Amino acid sequence: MKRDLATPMLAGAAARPAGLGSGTPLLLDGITHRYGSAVAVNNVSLVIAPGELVALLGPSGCGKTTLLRIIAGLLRQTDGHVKIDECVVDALPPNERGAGIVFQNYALFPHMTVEQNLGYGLRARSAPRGQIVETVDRMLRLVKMEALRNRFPRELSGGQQQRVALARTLAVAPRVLLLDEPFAALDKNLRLDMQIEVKRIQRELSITTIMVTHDQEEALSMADRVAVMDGGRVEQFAPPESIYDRPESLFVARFIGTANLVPGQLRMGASGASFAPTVGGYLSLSVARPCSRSGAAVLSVRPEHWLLMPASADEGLAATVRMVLPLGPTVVNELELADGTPIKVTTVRTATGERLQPGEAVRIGLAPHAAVAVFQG
Amino acid sequence: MGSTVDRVKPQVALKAPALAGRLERGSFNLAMGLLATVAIVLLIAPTVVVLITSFTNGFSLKFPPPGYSLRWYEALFTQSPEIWRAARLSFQVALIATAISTLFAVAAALALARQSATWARLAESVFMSPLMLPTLALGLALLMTFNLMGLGLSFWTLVIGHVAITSPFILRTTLSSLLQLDPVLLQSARSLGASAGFTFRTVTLPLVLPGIAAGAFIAFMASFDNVAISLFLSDARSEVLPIRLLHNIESNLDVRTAAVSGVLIAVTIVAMVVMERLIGISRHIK
Amino acid sequence: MSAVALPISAARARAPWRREWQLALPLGLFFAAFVFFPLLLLGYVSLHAEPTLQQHSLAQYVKFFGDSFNWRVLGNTLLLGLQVTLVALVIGYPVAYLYSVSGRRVQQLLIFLVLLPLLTSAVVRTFAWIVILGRQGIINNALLEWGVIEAPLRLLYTPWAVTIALAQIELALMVLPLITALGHIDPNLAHASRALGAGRWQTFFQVTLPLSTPGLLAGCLLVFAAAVSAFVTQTLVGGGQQLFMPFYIYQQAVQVNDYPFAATIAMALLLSVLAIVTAVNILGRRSKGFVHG
Repeated sequence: MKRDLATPMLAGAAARPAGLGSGTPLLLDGITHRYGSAVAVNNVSLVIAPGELVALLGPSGCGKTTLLRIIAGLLRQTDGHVKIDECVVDALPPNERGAGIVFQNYALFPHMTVEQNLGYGLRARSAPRGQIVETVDRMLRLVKMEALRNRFPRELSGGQQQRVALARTLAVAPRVLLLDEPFAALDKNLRLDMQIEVKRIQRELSITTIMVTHDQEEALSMADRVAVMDGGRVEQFAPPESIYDRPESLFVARFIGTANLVPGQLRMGASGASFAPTVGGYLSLSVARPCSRSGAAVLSVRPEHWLLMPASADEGLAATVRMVLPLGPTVVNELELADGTPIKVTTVRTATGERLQPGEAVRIGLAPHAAVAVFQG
Repeated sequence: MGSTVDRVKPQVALKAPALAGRLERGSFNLAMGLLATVAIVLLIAPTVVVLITSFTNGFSLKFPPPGYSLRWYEALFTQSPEIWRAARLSFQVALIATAISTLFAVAAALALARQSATWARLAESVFMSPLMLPTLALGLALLMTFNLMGLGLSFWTLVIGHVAITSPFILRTTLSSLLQLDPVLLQSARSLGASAGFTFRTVTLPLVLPGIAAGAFIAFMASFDNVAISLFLSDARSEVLPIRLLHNIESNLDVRTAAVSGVLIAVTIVAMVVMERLIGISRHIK
Repeated sequence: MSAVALPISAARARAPWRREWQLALPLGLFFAAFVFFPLLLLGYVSLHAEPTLQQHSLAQYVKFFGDSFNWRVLGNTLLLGLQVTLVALVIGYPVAYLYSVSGRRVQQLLIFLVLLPLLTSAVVRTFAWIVILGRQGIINNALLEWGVIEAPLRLLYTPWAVTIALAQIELALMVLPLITALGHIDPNLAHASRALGAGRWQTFFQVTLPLSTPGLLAGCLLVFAAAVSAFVTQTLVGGGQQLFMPFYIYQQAVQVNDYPFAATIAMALLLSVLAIVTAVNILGRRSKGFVHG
C-alpha cells in the first residue's frame, strides 16, 4: 500500500487516547509556511486531544520550531488554520490566543526578581492586585521555588531558571502550553529530573502541551503522542510505542532507534508472509506492514527483536560477529551479514556471563511476536 | 602493518633551547610592558602635574612648586566672578543641550536598532558624522547659517550647536544597549499578554536606561568641554568656561587656571566614580 | 535552528515598522536643518569671489590651492594627524593589550586612567602640557637639576611638542576601540598558535594584530580626525610657529572677516578628512571578511 504523503495525516485521530481531562483541544489544519521559495512547513494537519502532551520530533531544519512558532502566534503561516478550542486564532497575537510559550533560553527578565517575573503576565493584563499575589504564591508552590522568590535570574541555576520560566507562562493560565527545546540547555542528570517535573505539572494541570525536541529519548518517554517530522512534513503521528515498534516510513524507522535494514523480496501468502533477504536465508513473518505487497522490499528489525541461533541452524540469516560491547544490563552485538550489511543485536546479559566472540559465525532469526516493519524497496 | 605514527618524530620536545623560548617571551613582555608603562605615565602625568601645580604658593607655574598653599583656590572662589559666570553658562548649555539630545537620539535609536534597510544604515552614518568630521567647520557653517537667517548669536544658537555634536554620543550608546537586548525577551513579554506600550515601559526602557545614562553623561561632559563650536557661536557677552580659560592662558597665564583645572579634574573624577557605581559606565563606553 | 528575528505576524509587522521610522524624524529634521544645510551653505559661500557675496566663482579655491603657503598649511595639518596617529598607535596598542590580559581590578583601573583625559576639557589637558613643557616646567627643571643643560630649552612651540601632547590627549580614542577589538578575538586562537610552536612575537603579528584590524582602523580614524581638528592644542602648544588649518579658519573668519576664504579653507579641511576616512573605511571593509569567523 503506497502511502500518499500529499494527503493530510489525520491518522492520529484513530489512535487518540481517551480524553485526559479538562484541557483544550488544538487543531492544526493544512498549515503551510514558505520562506520565499523554501517550504518550511508543508501541509501539516494534526488533531491534538485536550490535556495531551505531544512532542514534535525531528532533525535540525525539519520545521518543528517553525510550526511551534506558528501555533504560538509569533509567526503567521502562509496557508492553513490554527484552531484552539474550536476557534480559528490565525489573526490573533500570542497574548490573545491563549498560547503560552517557554523559550529555549528561558527569556527571564533579568531586571526583575522571580516574584516579579511570575506576576508579569497578570500585571500586563491589569489583573487586580489580590489575584496577582495569590497566583504568584500558587505558582511558586507548584514549581517548589518559594524560598527563592526574591532572587534575580542571574542568581539561579539552569534548572531553577527553567522552573521559573515555566511557572511564569502557567501563571496566565494559557489554554495551550508550548515548549521550545526546554531541556536542551540542561546537563544530563538534571534533564531527567526536570522531564519528570514538567510531566507531573502537565498532568496535574491537564494542560494541552506541544513540545519541540530533537532528543528521541525525551520525546518517547514524555509524550502521549509523537509527531515525527522531516522536511516540513509529519511522517508519523502516534503514541511512542507505535512509533518505535511500527514505524510507518523508512525515515521514521531510521530516525528512531536502530533500524537494522535488510533488503530482499517479500512474498505474501495465505497464512502470512515470508521475506527472502538478498544475501540469502529466509524469515517468516506473521504480518507485513506497512508494505504488504509482494515484491522488492526492505525489512527493519529492532535490535532486541532478533534471535541468536547457532551457525548450524537451518533458518534465519547467516552472520558473523564483529564486536561485542557489554553495556550494563544489556550486551550490544555488532554483526555483519554476508554482504557486509551491519546488524545490531542486543541481548540481555546472562547470569553465566557467556558471550559471543568476535569472528564467530551465527545465524539470526526473528524472536516470536517480534515487531518488524517492511517497507517498499 | 607498521604504523605511520612511529615515523613522525616529535620535533621540539628534546631540543635544549628553553632559553631561546624564554628570551623571546622576555623580549615580548619587555617591549609591551615598557610601551604600556610609557603610555600610562603619559596618561597620568599631565593630570598629576596640574593638580600639584595648583597648590603652589608662588605666582608662576614653576614645577615643582616652591611651596604649597591653597591661595589660588581661594582666589578662584572669591575673586573670579567672570570664571563662575562662564562656568554657570557652560553648565546651563550642557544641561539643556544634553536633555534635547537625549530625547532626539533615544527616539532615533529606537527607530534604527535592528533595521537593516539602506535608509537606516545611511541615517546612522549621517547622525554619527559629527564624531568624525572637524567640528570647527560645522561651527563656522552654523555661524554663517545663523547670520543668513538673521538670527543673532545667543544662548539658543549655542545650544543648537551643542545638540548637533552631543547627539552622536547618546545615539551610539543607546543603539549599543538596544542591540544587546535579547529580542526573545520582547517576544516573551508579548506572549504573556503585554501590549507594545507595556512591554516598552517595563522591559525595554529599564534595560536600556543604563546605556542612555552613559551616553548622556559623555554628552554632558563633551558639551561642557567643547571649544570648536563655542568658538564661533559664543557672543561677546556670554562666554563658556573653556573659552574663558583659553583667553586666560593666552593673555596672562595665571595660576588660577591651574586651580580651575584642579576643580574640573576633581569634579570629573567624582562624576566618573558615581556613574561607575550607578550604572557601570565602563561597559557602555566601549 | 531558530530564525533570528521573526515578525509577529504579517499585519502587525507592518504597523510597528511604520510607527518606528517616524521616531527618527526629530533627529533627522534637526540634522537636515543644522548640520546638512549649514555644510551646504559652507560650500556655497566658498564659491564666491568677494566677502560681500556678489559673484559666484571658483576664485577662492584658485587662491587657496594656488598658493604654496596654503598647501603647506594643509600638508602640515594632515601630517600632524598622521604623526599623532602613529605615536598613539605605538603606545596605545600595548595599553589595550595589557587590558586584555589583565584581571578585573587592573582592567577597571586602566579604563579609569584612559577615560579621565577624555572627559576633561581639551583646554585643561593642553594647559597641563604647557605646565610640563614650559620654561619652568618639570622637564626643563629636571634637566637643569641634573646639569644636562644650562638654560631652559624652548620645548613649547615646537612641532614635536604638539605631536606628543596630542598623542596623549587623544590616546583614549585609540585605546578604547582596540580594547573592544581585542576582546572579540577568541582567546583560543592565541593558545592554538602557541601550541603549534609559534613564539609570542609571531603570534602577535600573525594572529592578534590582523584580527584586531577593525578596532585598529577605527582607533586610527578617530585619532586622526581629532588631531587634525584640535584647535586648542595646536594653537597653545604650537604657538605662532606653525599654522594649522583650524586656526587658519578661525583667523580668516573671525579676525579677518573673509568668510568666503574661511569657508574655502574649511571645505578643504572637511573634504580631505572625508576622503581619508572613506578610503580607510573601504580598506577596512575589505579586511573585515576574515575577522568575523
